[in-house]
Formats: sequence, structure tokens, C-alpha cells
Amino acid sequence: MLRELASYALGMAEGFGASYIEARVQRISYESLLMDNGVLKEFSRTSSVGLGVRALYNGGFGFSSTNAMDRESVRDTVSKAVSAARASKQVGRLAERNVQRGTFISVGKKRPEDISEGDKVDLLVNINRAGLSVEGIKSAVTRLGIQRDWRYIITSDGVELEYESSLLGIAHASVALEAGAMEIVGDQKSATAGWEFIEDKNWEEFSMDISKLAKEAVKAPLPPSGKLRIVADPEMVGLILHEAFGHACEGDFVASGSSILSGKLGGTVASPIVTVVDDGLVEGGYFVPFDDEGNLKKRTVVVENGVLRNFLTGREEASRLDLPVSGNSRAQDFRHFPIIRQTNFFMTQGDHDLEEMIREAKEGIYISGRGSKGGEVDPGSGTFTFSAGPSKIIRNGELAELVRGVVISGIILETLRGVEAVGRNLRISTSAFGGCGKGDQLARVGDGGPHVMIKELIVGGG
Amino acid sequence: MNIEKVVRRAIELGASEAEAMLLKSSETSLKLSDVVEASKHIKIASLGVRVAVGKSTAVVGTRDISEDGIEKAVGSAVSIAKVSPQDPYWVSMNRNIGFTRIGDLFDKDTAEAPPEQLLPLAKELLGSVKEGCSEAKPVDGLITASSAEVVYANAYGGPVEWKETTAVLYVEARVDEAGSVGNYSDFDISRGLGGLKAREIGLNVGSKAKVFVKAGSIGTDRYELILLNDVSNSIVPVMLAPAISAFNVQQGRSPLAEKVGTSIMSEQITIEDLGASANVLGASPFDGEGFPTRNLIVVERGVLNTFLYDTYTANREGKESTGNASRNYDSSPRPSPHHLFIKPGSATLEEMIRETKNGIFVARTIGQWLSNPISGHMNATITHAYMVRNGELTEPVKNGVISGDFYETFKDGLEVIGNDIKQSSGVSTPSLKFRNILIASK
Repeated sequence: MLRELASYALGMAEGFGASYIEARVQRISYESLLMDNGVLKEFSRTSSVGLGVRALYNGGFGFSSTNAMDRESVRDTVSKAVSAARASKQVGRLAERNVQRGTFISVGKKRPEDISEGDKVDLLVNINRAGLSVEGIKSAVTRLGIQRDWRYIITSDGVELEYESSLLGIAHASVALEAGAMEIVGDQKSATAGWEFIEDKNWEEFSMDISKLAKEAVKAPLPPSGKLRIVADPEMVGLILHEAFGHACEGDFVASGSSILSGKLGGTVASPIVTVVDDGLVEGGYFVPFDDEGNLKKRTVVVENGVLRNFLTGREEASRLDLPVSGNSRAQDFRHFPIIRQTNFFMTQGDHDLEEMIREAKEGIYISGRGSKGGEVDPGSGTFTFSAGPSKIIRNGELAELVRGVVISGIILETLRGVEAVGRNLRISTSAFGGCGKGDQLARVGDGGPHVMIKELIVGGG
Repeated sequence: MNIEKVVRRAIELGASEAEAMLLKSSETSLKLSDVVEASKHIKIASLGVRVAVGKSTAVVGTRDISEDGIEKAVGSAVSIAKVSPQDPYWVSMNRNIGFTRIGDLFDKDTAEAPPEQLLPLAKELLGSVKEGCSEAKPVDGLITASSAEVVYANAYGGPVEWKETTAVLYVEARVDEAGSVGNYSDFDISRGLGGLKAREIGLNVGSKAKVFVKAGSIGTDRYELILLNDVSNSIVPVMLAPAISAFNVQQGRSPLAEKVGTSIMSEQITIEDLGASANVLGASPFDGEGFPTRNLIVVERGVLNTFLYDTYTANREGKESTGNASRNYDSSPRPSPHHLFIKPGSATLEEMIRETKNGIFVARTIGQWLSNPISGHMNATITHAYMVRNGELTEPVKNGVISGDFYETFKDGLEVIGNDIKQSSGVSTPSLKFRNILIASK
């Protein structure tokens, strides 16, 4: 029925005078269980069905959406998309498409929907109990998140694409109390997979390790304030790249002139040992086979040996920037129009061992992603910031004491130029509990890289 | 949709208590750069069903609002609750359904505005950026007119309903001078499109973008610090809202546990939660579980007066809810502020600057949400600020991290409270001046 309604929307293009229509129908569900200090505080399930229509009328794009899935509402939605287009600028030429038809499925082996509610609750009870069993832990929260997303896109220029994915993960946070001071450490592990991802891991060990780190962190001092040499673990590298560089590569920011990388294509923007790619299909990352205007998401080499080679684009940005379509025009769901987003944005491997980096760093800080809350960038001023989890000071080329409350800040273009060493290992991860916010939309993304040493960043401490 | 029927159906299926919340939302918006990039007009209905079977609860949200979709949601909620473990602290859902008369929150013109109606406002906003500085280019922006209608009922009463409109305007501009870039952004928010000050915002953004082309760096040191009201608006709720939630207190995640009746901030500070004031965004006649709202003094002259309660947390302590149940349609309610309001002082911003010898006046930050409300450690990264020397604003600066204990800063560090309240979504604060604050930078 949903496919029929999408076709019905498409069939009305001519009647409303639209020169192009793209119709997206979606069925998305999210299940969330939350175990808080041994008590199940939340067992919720959300499901949505809806239609999003983008219409090109008189050269301008308009968007409308509805979740009333009947013909009259669909007709009203197309009419509103056309009406919205009257208020928009002329988009000019759209770049050539890179795909017409395809079906892409990544749902793993065991359907999470087939696992009983009781088994899911038992799993969380055990993880939460293990987290609370560590002495000094005052509070522990464990979450299970399961998303299933089905999208079907058809366009009036012949695209027909279908997609289904399963994303799930477990998150845990422990709060330690010592001598009146409290500290929280949280972490999560997620994958585009089936229930086998949950069965293959020792989650009690996961929550106990978090609790042990929280217990250690509550006693730890704040780091010294000021400039420090940084060795970052793969999770931190992912965050730095995403915030400090990825957003500036988004073609809409570049085309409007708000990115600090506007006009720098072909120029050196990073140390020669840095190569950065955006790839929709990568081990450990989120599953993005195509974007929401119906473009195949290809592996895009953004920086090659320090030189800026590409930006992330949809059809409009590709045309404006004279680049190929990279397939990055993504919408949070059927309620939103597509905007340029990263998919899995990461740095490729280098030749250093972590031990070598710590030794070469001599003095600085080894920042860890476990316990980080994320980051933010102001692309216009070039300033970015992120928080790290409990991290270790590097002294005389060795790891020394643990510090907490680490917040890092830097300037976009200085950061990648300051990369002094890149590690051999590569780790990419995604999350079933959050994503990247841009405008009013949240997108699931993946990020990561190897360990990396950076000459200096600002550390906020005490 | 008849939500009483939804509640009855859940009871029929075996729930001992049930509630339903219907949220009908619509939004018209223009996405801006120096032109209208795109526009949209959406209309969505969402239904939340929460049930209890004895002391076991479950929530199901659905945007599949067909008869089948609703039946499936209700059935799913009851079947999950039947197999869920009991919550020993569960007493009951809210039995006091009602509302507080707080005035009109709805502007018909805003609710029904088609995209074309937003165009004159976009023109005025973009034009005034250029008027503020002819070299300034608007690079990002948004004008949104939205409406929300909420209908709530549970097994003990209702339905009750309320509706509101919100209009928002935002613009960021950039000035490029010989390879050096300056940017600035600002926003306005109101109940209706007519209340938006497009020209004022545009002029401010255009002129400031030019100023920050020359932004230099700050040295790591301790400074007198003035936070513009926009900045205090972004920091205060991050630190305070989770800490005053009775839920976090009960779960052992608030640094304010056992601090009611004690001094937690400077005695200059009084903070209210405005749940029942029509002129602020976040207020509503009843909360997320149909309990009548009220205005509540949370911190009075520096002393913590109360935590915020919903029915669940109030029942756990044998108290009455403060009307602070907050929720999405698809989640359980949790206590949260409606609109935190710091009572203004008497000093103007100019006076605060004049009284500063060696300080930083911070106009914009990012990353304040990375602060830790559990440990009380606050941080925010400066993107736009000015050095203040001998009572005068001097050069623009950027890229430093404000770092410190939130409660120590607001107790011993607070010097002056400004008279310049700015309203944001869910918070209104004036500019604030502090002494001896650590800034990490180059």
C-alpha cells in the first residue's frame, strides 16, 4: 500500500505543474528499554509510517510530508510541496544521477523483533546488576535500543530504490561517589546487525569496566589548562574529524560560502600523512547505501595525502561546485527534506604503533572516547570543541595519571595540519542512541580512524 | 481521534491504568542562505499510550494513526506491561487531571501561515543583515511558524487539551576580508510571527560579523567574565535542569541531593520555573500527564527551595506533583522545568562593562552542553568575545574554554546580575558578571 501511495504522489506531478517529484515512504520503528538502578523504568516502542514529497516547481524546490496515509492526504501533501516551492529560490541545473534502481538490505541474521520481551528485560537486568556490583557505584543506567528502518524512494525521472536496515546497541552509564564528589562515565556499543551482535558480546564485563573507570575517575584531578600535545584514540579521532573537518566538507556549507574550506579544493588542508574518506558501506559503521534524493552513496575520498580532493554533495551541490554526486543528501526521516550529511567519515590507516606515539609525544595527554559526550563546531569561526572521557596524562613518553573533565577546543584548519603520526589500527563505530544534529535534523552516522598524534590543541581543565 | 476510546481499549485489554496523549503538530518553514534555499510545510499526528498492569508499565508511541495502527499500539503497550518486571515505587498515574487558566498561547495567523506568508519576513531579515554591513553575506538561516495541539486523558479523567504556536527566526552572516573570516548569528523567538524582530536581529548580525573578522586569541589565565544573556541562557539549563529534577535526585544523580533549604548560589540569585505564565515559551495549562501547572520559586536568594516533581517522583516521597511532568509523546514523563527564569538585577550591560578592569565579555559559545551536571563541572568554548580593559570593550577574541565548578562559580564567583533579560526556548536569563574565572586558551 505504501508503494502505491508513493506512485500515486508521483502521478500527480503533471497535474500540479511540477517538473520533478520525489516521493519517499518510510516505516521506522524504535524500541527502547531502560534499566535504572535495578528497576525497569522504560519499555517503549515507537513506530512511524509516513510520506515525504519534494517537488520542483518553476525552478524551486518545495517539501511537504504527512502521516495520514490516504489518497486525499497524499494529494494535499503534493499540493503543499508545490505551494512551498513557490517560496523557494531557483535551484538551477541538477547534476546527473549515478543510479536508477536497487534494493539494499542489512538486517543481520536474527531479527531482534523475534526475541521475547522477557529475554530483553533479563539481559538488561544482568548488565545493570553487574554495573552496580562494583563498590563505590551509586547509580547505574543501562539501555537497549533497536531501530528498524525501511525506506522506498521513487522519482519522476525513473529512480526506484528500496532499503531496510536493523541497528541496535547497548549503552551503560555508571555514577561513582567518593568523599562527596560524583562522576559519571558512559559508553555504548552499536552495530548495523541482528540480535547476534548482542549475543556475541560479554555485556556484563562491559558495564563492570565502565563502573571501574567511573570509580577511578571520581578521584582523578582535572587536567592542566592550556595547549597540550594530543594522542587520540580511534573514537576521539572520529569525533575530531566529524566536528573539526567533516562539517566543513558538507557541500551545502561550501556552496553557500559558510565553510572555511570554500574555494580550497586542490589545496593542502592537512598533514601529508592524512587521508580522509566518507563511505556509506563500511565495517562497523552505519548503513547508507543511497541517500534520500536517490543517489548511490559512493566511497568519497575527501582528503588524499593532505590535499582536499572532494566535498560531500547531492545533485544541487554537485552542480554548483562542479563535482560528482557523492550521495550525501540525507533526511532524518519522511518529515524532513534532504540536506547534506556525512555518512561514515573516517581517517585511513598510517604506520605508527600506539606505543611509538606515546613515546614520541613525550609530554601531553592521551584522550579517550569512552565517556565522551560528543562535540560541536561553529563552521563560520572555525572553532570546534568536544569532550573526552577519563584520559591519561603523557609524561616522559609514558602514560601517567588519569584525569577527568577533559574538554578540548581547536581551530579547524590548524588541527589536521598538526597531525604528526597516524596509527596502524582502524576502528569505526556507530550509535543506536544518537547521531549528528544539523538544523532540526538528526542523522545516524559512523566515524572513527586509527590512533592519531596531534601537535597541539587547547585543553580546558582546572 | 477519540483518545478516551484509546484509554478504554487499553483497560479492556487488561491494563489496570492507562493514559493517551495525542499531539497534532504542523510547521511551515523557510531555510535561508542569502536567498530562500528551500521551504516546507508539514503536518503530523502522533499518539502516545502508556499503560500500567499493576506496578508494571509500558509506553508505545505511534505515528501510524490508522485504526489498525492505533489498535496495534494499544495491544503492544498492554502486552509489554504484562511481561515487564514490577517497579516497586509505582503508585498510580496522575489522579488530579485539570488545567490552570494562563491566557492565550495560540496565534491563528501563525498556525495557518503558508510558506509564502513568511517571505516578507525573510526579505526584511536578509536585507537588514546587508544594512548592518554591506559586506556581510547571510549564509544560514531559518524562519519557522509552528503549532502544536495536545489532548490528554487517562483512566482517572480528561480529556483536557491545549494548543500553542511558536515562531522562530535565525540568521548567521559571514564577512570575508582578504582571506580572514568573521561570522555572527542571532535568533528571536515568539508566540507569533508578528512578534519577531527581524530587522533588529539582521542589523545586529551584519554589524557583528564584520567585527569578528579581526578576532584574535585569548591567553590562558583567570579573568573577570561577563556572559551575555544569550550565553547564560545556554549554560544555566544544562547544569540546573537535570540537577533539580526529583527523578535524578532519587536515582542518585544530582549534586543537589539533600541541599533543599541550603544556600547553593549567591544570595543575589532567585530562579523561578514559569509553568503558568503565558508570555514565556514552555508554559502550558497542564503538564505532560494532565496535572495543572504553576509558577514555582526553585532558588530564592541563593537558597534551594524545592525540586521539580511529576506524579511518579512525588508519590515516591509522599508529596504532591509540582506540575513538571515533561515528555515526548512516546516516552514516560520525567520532571523537568517548563521555563527557568533568573530574576533580573538592576545593572545595565554597559555598567557591567564599565566596572570591569581586566576581563572578557562573552557573546557566543558552543559546547556548553558537554558540561557535566552530575559532577557540577561546567565548560563552554568561546567562539565570539571581546577583551575588556579598564571599563571598555577592546579587541574581539575567540577560541578559549571557560571551565569551573558551576555552583562555586554561581556562589562565590557571581558579582553582578544584569537587567537585560532575553527569552529563549525554556529559559530567560539576564547577562551575568563573574570574578576570577579560568579561561584555557593558547
